[in-house]
Amino acid sequence: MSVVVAAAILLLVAVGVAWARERRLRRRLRGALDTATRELERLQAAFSRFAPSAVVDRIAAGDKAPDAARKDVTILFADLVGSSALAERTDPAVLVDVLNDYFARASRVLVAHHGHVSKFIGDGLLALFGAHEGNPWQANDAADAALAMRAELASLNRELASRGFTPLAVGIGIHRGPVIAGVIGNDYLTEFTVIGSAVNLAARVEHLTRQHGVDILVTAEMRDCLDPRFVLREMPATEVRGFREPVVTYALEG
Amino acid sequence: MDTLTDVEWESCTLEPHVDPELERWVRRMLGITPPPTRYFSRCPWIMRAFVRFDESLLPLQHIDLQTARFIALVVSQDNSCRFCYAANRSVLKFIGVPDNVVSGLEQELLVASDPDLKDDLAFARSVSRADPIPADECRRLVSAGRARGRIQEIAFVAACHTYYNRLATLPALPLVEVEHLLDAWWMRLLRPAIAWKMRRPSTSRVDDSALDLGSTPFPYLIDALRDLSIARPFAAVLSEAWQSPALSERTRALCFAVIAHGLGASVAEREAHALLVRAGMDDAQVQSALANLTAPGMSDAEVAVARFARDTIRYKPALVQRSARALCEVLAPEQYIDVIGVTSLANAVCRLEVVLA
Repeated sequence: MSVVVAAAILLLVAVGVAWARERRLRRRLRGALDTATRELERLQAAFSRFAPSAVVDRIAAGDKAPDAARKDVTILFADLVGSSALAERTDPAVLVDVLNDYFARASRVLVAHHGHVSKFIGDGLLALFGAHEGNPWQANDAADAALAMRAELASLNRELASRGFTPLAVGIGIHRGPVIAGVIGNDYLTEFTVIGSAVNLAARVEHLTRQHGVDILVTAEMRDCLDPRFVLREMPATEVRGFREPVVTYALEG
Repeated sequence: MDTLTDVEWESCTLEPHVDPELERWVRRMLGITPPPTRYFSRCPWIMRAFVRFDESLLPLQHIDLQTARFIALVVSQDNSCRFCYAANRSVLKFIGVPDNVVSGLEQELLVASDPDLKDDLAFARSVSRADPIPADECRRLVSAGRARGRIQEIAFVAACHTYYNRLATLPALPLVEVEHLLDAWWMRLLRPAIAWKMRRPSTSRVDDSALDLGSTPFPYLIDALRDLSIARPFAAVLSEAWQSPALSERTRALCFAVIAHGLGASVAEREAHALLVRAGMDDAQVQSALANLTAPGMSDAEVAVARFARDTIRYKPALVQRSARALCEVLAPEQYIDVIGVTSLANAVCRLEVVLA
């Protein structure tokens, strides 16, 4: 009888220990899953700065190539003028600090005006308005963002001058037109981006800022969408590579 | 610990104010006085809408209370509303939904094993995102055999939560941590009784008999929902919002017009355009206001409200909270609170255009 009781007690203890272990293991697994989920959420939130939420959801669900879409988008290219000369006479670490400060300020201003920084290209950047979500005010947003970037650069230049640096200058080109927006790349490198002649034209217009000696240029397509409160000055029509007709641009003065 | 703790949240732009009568009424309807009551008490219609939109009081015919609460969680998660998300998560835990089910909803694991719930929640999320308004998705679900009434109720509950989320996020209501209470010994004792009460739809009903529901704005939406019992509380919310004395009819219509334009809600935009014309703007002014968020003849305050209304359509919480703070500095307190309520409601009403599909 006592052997049976002892065996029953032993069995109960064994079951209890196994149950407690199982519980501990489950709790640990749940904790690990929660941590992984929070990490995934953070990554998704970070990705949503670079791609529309619906695209991020589909990539997270395992869809490698969500459908691309044709969209009317406003494209802003900004490039630092004379940065090569600056690079030659500045300590690399200091130069990187200055550039990072500029990029941080520019990004803040672009996001505050409903834009998305798509990519940094050397010392330039590409920002999109209306690519991630519908935005009927995208042209005004881009123009406001460009003016705010001008003001932010002036503030940065005051700080740089107090440290004995030559002021930075920026050229900004803005165009609105149809693009293909989607996820492009392969297993090694993938990005949400836009392609099409509208993107090329915006890049060419940014280059024209040096030729016309102004800091912000917009195209005629932009001018047609802009609020009359913006002050524009027409520039001479100019031939640009890849476009048959000369391109008329407008300097954005205020 | 929830998944939104990393979301930046500014300090609150509203001062609490006690209205004993309103608090008594809210407590009678909901059984508790939720923290937002004191922040919106200067414009009582906002809390009255808050109560009318509560899932436990909504006369839902096609979806159960649990599905409505699941919708509340995914919409507040998608809108990054830390306030509502924590509240909805706590409600689910209070009523005894196991932790693994709540986590499953957050991680979309649960829905994988329930295709109908997966479709419901995906549709609710697309109503909330409204990029674009998911009319095609609505038609697809109906043609796949889902009851139109069910789809409309899901859209309605999702729209109600876009209202709640904005109401809490725009003024950055102080975050209330209640989840830890669940682990207190006294709460463990009380929890079964509370859960039993919370699991059932409330028997309280808001008395609408004094309201004239025949002349509410956006009647086409009420007509589209006419076969559902939710049409009446919805009409009552619109009616009360439109009678609020804090803002002019023109400012209210301006908020609706801007948000409808931003969301591509063409029927709501036409209706708001007509309301603006009735309130004294001409067609050219309305067109300019919508195209540029400013127009000749608009006051500085109206321009500020129009720009803020636009910022409430899609946002990062901290950015829209800074925008709200800037608006708070140019409006009287009652006007500011009313703008928060009107823009929140307009976001819900314009998204609800999906029920016309």
